Amino acid sequence: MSEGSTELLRDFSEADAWLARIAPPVDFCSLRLVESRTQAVATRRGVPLPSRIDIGCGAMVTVIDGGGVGYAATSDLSFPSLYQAARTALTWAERMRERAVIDFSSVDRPRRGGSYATTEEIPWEAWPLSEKLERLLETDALLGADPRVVDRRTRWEHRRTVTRLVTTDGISIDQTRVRVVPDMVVVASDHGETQQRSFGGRGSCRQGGLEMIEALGWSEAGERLRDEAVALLDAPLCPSGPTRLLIGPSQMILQIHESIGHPLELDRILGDERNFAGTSFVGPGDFGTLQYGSELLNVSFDPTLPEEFASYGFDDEGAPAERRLLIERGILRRGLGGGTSAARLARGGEGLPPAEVEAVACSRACHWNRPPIDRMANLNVEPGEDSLTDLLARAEDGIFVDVNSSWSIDDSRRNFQFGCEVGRRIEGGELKGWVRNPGYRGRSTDFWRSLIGVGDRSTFEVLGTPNCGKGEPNQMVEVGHASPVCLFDGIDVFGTGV
Amino acid sequence: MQAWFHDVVNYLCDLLGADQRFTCRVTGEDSDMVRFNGGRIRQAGSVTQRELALQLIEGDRQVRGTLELTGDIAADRFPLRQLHDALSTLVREAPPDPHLCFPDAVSTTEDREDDRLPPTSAVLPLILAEQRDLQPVGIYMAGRIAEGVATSSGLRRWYETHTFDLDLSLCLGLGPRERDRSVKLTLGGTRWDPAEVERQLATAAAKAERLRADRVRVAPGAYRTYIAPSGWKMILRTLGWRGAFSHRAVANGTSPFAALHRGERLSTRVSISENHSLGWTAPFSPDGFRRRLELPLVEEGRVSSVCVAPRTALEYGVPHTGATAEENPGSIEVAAGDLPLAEIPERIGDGLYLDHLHYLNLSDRGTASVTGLTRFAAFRVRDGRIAEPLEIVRFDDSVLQLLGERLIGFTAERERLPEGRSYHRRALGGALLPGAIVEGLRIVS
Repeated sequence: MSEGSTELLRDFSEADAWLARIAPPVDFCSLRLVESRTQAVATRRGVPLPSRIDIGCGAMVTVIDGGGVGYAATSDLSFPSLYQAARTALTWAERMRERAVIDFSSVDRPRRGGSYATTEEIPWEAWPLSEKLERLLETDALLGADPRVVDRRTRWEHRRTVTRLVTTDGISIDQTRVRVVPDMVVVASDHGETQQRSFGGRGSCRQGGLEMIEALGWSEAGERLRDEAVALLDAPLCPSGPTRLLIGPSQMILQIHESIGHPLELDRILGDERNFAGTSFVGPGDFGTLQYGSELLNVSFDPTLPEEFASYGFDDEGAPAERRLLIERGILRRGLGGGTSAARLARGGEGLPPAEVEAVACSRACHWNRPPIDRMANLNVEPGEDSLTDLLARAEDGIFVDVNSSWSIDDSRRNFQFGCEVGRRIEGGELKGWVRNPGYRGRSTDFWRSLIGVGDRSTFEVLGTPNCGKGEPNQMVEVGHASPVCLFDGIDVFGTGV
Repeated sequence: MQAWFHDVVNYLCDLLGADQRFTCRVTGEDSDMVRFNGGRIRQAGSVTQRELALQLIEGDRQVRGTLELTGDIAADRFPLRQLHDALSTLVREAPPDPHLCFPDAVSTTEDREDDRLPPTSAVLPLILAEQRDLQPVGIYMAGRIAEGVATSSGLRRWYETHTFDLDLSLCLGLGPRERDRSVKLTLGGTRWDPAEVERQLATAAAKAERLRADRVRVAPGAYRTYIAPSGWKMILRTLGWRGAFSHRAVANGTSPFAALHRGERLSTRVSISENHSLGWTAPFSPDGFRRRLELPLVEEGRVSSVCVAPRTALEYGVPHTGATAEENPGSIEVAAGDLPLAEIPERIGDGLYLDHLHYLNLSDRGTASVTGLTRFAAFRVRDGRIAEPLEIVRFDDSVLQLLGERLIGFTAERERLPEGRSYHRRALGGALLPGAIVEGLRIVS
């Protein structure tokens, strides 16, 4: 066969026509195409690491027929391959329909198409490799300018993902998302003590182009992180005992993610994740009634903030994304689940009592080779009215922590223990000296009910995480979180180590 | 797939410019994936994927890239050329790399395991059958996995196998009382043995029956505890991820086992090795370097070796072990002890029996302290007998101590635990581990 003789779906704009050619006569068929291009530059201890270009491209065909659903995913975008994928998906749908968790044909499907694109001011290609490396090496030199620094790393990553979803319901959705993940880590060690500081624990990531690297404060961070790592070497151990705990946005995002995001996922409530990620302490009857946190707590599912990491126009099943409050004045209102999960809950799936829980557009897949499941997207604590000065004054004497270093929570998302890179004493309403190895424990709703202060927009930061793992088969997705500084009362704080 | 691998390598050789070299790794998978909940199917499908990872070297500079491909060389030539063009442009802008490594071996090896798995449709009825009113929840994945590594100087290595992974829980239900109560089992390998699967399901179902009793809460404190092999897998994985066995982490002071490298030692009962001779993984690294098939990491309590990636070897001037860049061992093996599994409750006397652990993380690097929670079957042990199921509890304790002065012993029996992960692609590998009784596991909440 000569080069180019195989008919390939290289131009995603032709997807509608291809779907028409490959779709069997079924209740529903969709073709989801994904093309990704990730580029990265990095240094370690003053030496540039090999630069990278990672290119992904593939398709998932989904068939719903007679109540069953099946998928077939392939990196072969030739016509015979996609045609066969549609037949394989149909075979799965037929094979599982008698044992399906729900009659998939009866679940309402999205009916509106559209498009979404990230605003990217400075494209990755605008700066040549030499300029990127020069800037990373400048930062690397700042990180290393102390004899107690034993390791240091810098990295910029740029992800461009193009997706096109077409369905036999006649909808067509095009989305282009561009994300940047700047990262730096410095490790200092002396007299047997080792301390690490990082650029938000990989939480400093945004949707957008290279302009976001500076918007996240890259230039000023190197010297500061180095000095903080060194200062922590001689800091006293974080004191133990119940106290007022002021938490910065870089740690708040982890707290939101683990103790609000995951327990509100409807597939966990339905038991899909019982064998892997876990269940949830939240039950179907808790929506509309559970006092999840204090009255100061307002949590939004907000895929509309343009710079936030997981913003999009539509989820991977085609549902249009809209902002929704999940928790209002501390009361749980809505969960994180797509239309299929909401329908299963409404019909009393898995032996649960029927419950009406509004779906939000969060059926997401990590790539073309995994089917969509219920995921967080952007999940944010809404800003309050207190300035940082107000919060410190209210804390009086307590501990300030920020930037996660260790995270652990039980499978139903109740019992958590988190460690942080940054710890400082609060004395007389002012930030004072460093304390090392701070950690804190709690139970999710008790913790959120102890929220006594929420920072205003001046303390609000838009962050996220590139790596949220869940699902069988396993999937890693990008998640956005934004939060102000928050103050909690009576938290069990401790220092780890000796 | 192997013929296509050679086609890709030959085409890359054709594309090479003057002064260019390459190493490449080709991976492929044809897998069925059936996810189920409560004995009913949530998602079912198939995944076919082919991928190339390319290290392009020009003189003393290098860049890297990956590319998902179709598996048909006629269709793949165009994207391969595009990637080569892009990397060629990039490598000319790249600075010299003082730690550039390239496998100099020129050989051809082939390891191939024939397909002995039944069709997925034949396996599902056994998995989805109700087990004494218990709900099967989890995933079955099966199919071909292949991996080839080549260099422009003539190295060709191929590994192909057909494996299954059954990762399953038998759950009591989803009501408020049953929600967190289940027994987990993981099976994997190249042979599907229905009798063995049925035996394991029956054993798990019997264990799950014990979970119907009222749970007891244990107060924070120290408890003599049995941790099953899957729990040790989690502990060793957490330590490995944080650099316990990494030369680079030891060198920069971030290894949680740094104290062992300063002369401290674990119990003489502890011997840990990375053992690729178990045959669960390819006998070569992703960059084509031959792996040390058996790498003793801890021998009778003393650190003996660490994982050294080729790049680390150049950076620190030490020999490499063919380790991956993460220097985190795969196919880990812990030597068996002499505690009979059947006598575990009796040997505990009064304490805890933990079948699994959940969501572990390092809580203190200096003391190799790990925190995590109980999950699945966890029981109170009283008077030498398994008693009530436990409410979920959190532990936080030093592994240096648990495997040091507080190790009572390992079991004589060991379990083969498949790797089971499937981020981006199904992973190969696993662990061969005993269970162990430790004194005074610290329960904190």
